[in-house]
Amino acid sequence: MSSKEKSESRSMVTFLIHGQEYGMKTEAIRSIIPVGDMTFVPGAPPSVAGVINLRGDIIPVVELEGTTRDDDAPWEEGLALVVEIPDDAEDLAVALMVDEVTQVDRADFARIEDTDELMVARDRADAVIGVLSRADGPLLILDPAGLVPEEKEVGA
Amino acid sequence: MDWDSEDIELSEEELITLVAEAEEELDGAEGVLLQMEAASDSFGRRAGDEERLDTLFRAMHTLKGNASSVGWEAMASLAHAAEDLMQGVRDGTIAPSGDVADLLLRTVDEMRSLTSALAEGGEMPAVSASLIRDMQSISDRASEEYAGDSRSDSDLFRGGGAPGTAVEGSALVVEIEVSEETDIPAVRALQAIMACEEMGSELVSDPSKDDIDAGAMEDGGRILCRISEPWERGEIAEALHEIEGVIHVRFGTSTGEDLAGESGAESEVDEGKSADAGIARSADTRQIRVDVSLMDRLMNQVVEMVITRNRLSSLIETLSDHGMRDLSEEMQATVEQMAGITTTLQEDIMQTRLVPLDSLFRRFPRMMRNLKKSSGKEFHFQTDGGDTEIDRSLLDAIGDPMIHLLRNAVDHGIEDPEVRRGAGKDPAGTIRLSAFRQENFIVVEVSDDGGGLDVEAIAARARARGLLDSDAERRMSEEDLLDLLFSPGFSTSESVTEISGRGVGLDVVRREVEDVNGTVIVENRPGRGSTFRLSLPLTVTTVRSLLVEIARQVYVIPLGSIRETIRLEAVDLHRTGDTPMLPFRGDFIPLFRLRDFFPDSSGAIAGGDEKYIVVLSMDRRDYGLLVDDLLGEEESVIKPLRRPIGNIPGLSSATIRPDGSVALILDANGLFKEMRRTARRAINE
Amino acid sequence: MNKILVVDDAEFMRLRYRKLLSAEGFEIVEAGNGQEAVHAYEKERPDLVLMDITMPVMDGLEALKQIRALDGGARVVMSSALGQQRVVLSAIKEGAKDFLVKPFKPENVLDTVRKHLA
Repeated sequence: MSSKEKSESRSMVTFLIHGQEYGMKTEAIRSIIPVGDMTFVPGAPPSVAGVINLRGDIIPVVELEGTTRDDDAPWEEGLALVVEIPDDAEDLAVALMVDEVTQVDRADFARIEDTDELMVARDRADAVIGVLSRADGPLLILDPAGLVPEEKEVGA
Repeated sequence: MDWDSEDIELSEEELITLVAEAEEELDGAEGVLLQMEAASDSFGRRAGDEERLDTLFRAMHTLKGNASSVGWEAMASLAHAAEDLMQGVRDGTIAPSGDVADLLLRTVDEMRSLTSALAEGGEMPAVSASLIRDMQSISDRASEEYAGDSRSDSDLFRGGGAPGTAVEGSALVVEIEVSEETDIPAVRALQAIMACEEMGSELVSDPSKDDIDAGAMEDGGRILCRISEPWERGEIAEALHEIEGVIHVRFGTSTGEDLAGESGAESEVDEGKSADAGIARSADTRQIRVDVSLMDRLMNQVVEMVITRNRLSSLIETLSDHGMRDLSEEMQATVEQMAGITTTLQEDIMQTRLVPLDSLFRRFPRMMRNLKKSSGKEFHFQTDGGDTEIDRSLLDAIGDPMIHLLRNAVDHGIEDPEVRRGAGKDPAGTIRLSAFRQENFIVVEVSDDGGGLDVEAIAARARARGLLDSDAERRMSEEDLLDLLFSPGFSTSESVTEISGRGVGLDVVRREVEDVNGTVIVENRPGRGSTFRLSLPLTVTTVRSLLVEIARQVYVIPLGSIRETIRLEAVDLHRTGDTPMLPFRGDFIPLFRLRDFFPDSSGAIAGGDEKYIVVLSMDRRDYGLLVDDLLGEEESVIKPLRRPIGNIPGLSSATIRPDGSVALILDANGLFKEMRRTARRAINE
Repeated sequence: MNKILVVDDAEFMRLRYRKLLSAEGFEIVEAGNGQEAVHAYEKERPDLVLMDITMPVMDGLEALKQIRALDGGARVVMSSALGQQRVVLSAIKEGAKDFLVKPFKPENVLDTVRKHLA
């Protein structure tokens, strides 16, 4: 309750993935690009749809965990947000597949709540760090770092 | 920088001691600082203040030492800045003002929160950079004001003869190079001069010991020492190479002029006489120093140029397809010309990145001698092929694996002298480190003529570790069993001391080598020894490769791992079990599809029209890969696959095609290993 | 078995040394400052001394002088932090055999110890 008194207004991009609206802070987003042909990577984690060439860098295209499409469905042209991932060792970025970018807005981050709804949302994706309640339904807030899980031993 | 307590590996006991000592020092420091703040006008002049300042300085010193020894950077950098500040206060160049006390008290507060974060295992709070900056700027200002005031005038050496003084009789000039990368090069230089002093009768050196006192050799460099008789070159070389940081020793004879004047470092040393043990090649050709990062940038730019060139070529083909033949032919010729230039440029730049393996091998004779003494084993150590050149970044990457393999050879390869005598062998064994170029690879081998590897014992250990069950074991070849040596978890902490006293197993060796796209295998000669063989790529940035199409996607296969390509319709396949076998050079080799290697993704890489077989050569054996089409060769630029993809066995990296799309680079060794791992898992389940 | 005297005022550093070196089969004796080091040297006659420079009561340089006065053949390796070049130079001139710079790499410590015990 008291959190509502403090206001922490930040710019945020909101977008739709499979009908659910998500938001992410604007600083983390390098660009919004159309994604056409990508190269499929056998053996990659299921959240990785493929890789693309973005100005000479090879960038993984990822889908939000828990929203991965049917395996056999063909890849269609779509939009992706190029998201910078905080990392000490290297420049990391991924392209996050989205269905539609709804708006760039200012949101009051202090109003983000850690509610039961969040618990439900977290089941869907590790990257969800909060929920913003709004008149037209909850907005799930994504953390860039959550898009790239720490190195797991492949094949183990 | 983000930093997590978990990044530090400490035992419970170490953690407790580290935290307790930090708290104790911080308490002591805080007490002194509070006094300093309260009595800033007179602080420093009262009775007992000197001890108080010492306590404070030592507290920071201890905190810095403890923290840096475990890589606790946040704490170490704060303590370092505070220590410098305290040094100034103690020396009297910085007044112990209230401001200084305040700054240090805030530092102590920061250190407390770092310490409790460490104790609780939480995330490290960020260190205030401004705090460090403020402390540094006070220290810097003070030392500037003080510069020039701290010359030492100790005169221990003048009696040896001033530079330029002729020495009677025969003299030897020793040229010694001290690396700038060693710790405190000046002290290493002093040790080198003192070692020469012990060997000869009279000595002149440039720089002299006084020069070193006055600040010479702080960044390493060359020393010329002239020693009059008696001297023994071999002993001198040996003694000098014992000193850490000494990278070159050369000999010449002196006419007494060599060391005169200030430009002594450029004196000519008689080449004809430089032939003794441990003498490195001279570096007297015309050279300039270039920053490695500049070389990396140049390389990257050339690589981008290669990509652009490839793209241009493919555009011209399109042009030709559109009927503009004349123009496109002329353009094609121009691009070919440009291709020649970029290739030469690329090779030249690559050349500048090459260093002889000697610069690594040179480290080992001393290590091996020490190992000989501590292990009680008897052996000769030989190196061979040290002039083989290798990319600089690879050299750094294989240092640790080589150390490990050499130690293993001493500890496990070579038998005790009595055992060897009993087996009718020379009581002194031989450990051999050799390097050579083989096609597109640099091969580095560590071999010993010891007892070889005990396959039974390896299998038994693997069973005990749960890496193997008897069912799987029956199906495994001896090579497969030997390969278990490299499995994670094979050499556990229990076996660490017993193996080589170091906490790295062969699994780490393999990982480090594979990280640079190399491979490592072991060859066993029961009763006669074993050989560990590292194969490393020639370059780290591009690879000559064949492009193939599999299930509508282009893949890149390095030419180095391809034996042959065969049309599928030209061969008769045989079947053993589920795997089709291909007759190849009088043998049968297994034939795979890409999807066999990636069962989890098989749906997405199926449905091609297979027309060709690419025969890939592994470390020991060959196998065939079915592909739909062969698309020609190119020079592929290697780009990393980053997280969340990371390390997929068999897919080491990727490249960008002239049309801008991405193609994955297949790693023949990794694919096959992954296959075996999958098979093993399947058998175990 | 070779005996090594480890001198450092930081208990944590002594702990690290002790773990590292006793695992290699060395016998370890410890001292917390220069004065203790001189006494311990007299009593224990270690084969090698690893000694910190900055310590309370008596610093490493003074302890080095006193130990060398007791035993001209004493083998002492100084441990220092970066930036203590001047003191290390003095120590080498006073007969210290070698030095190590903090933070230590275990293999450097072992290489150095083995080198001087050979």
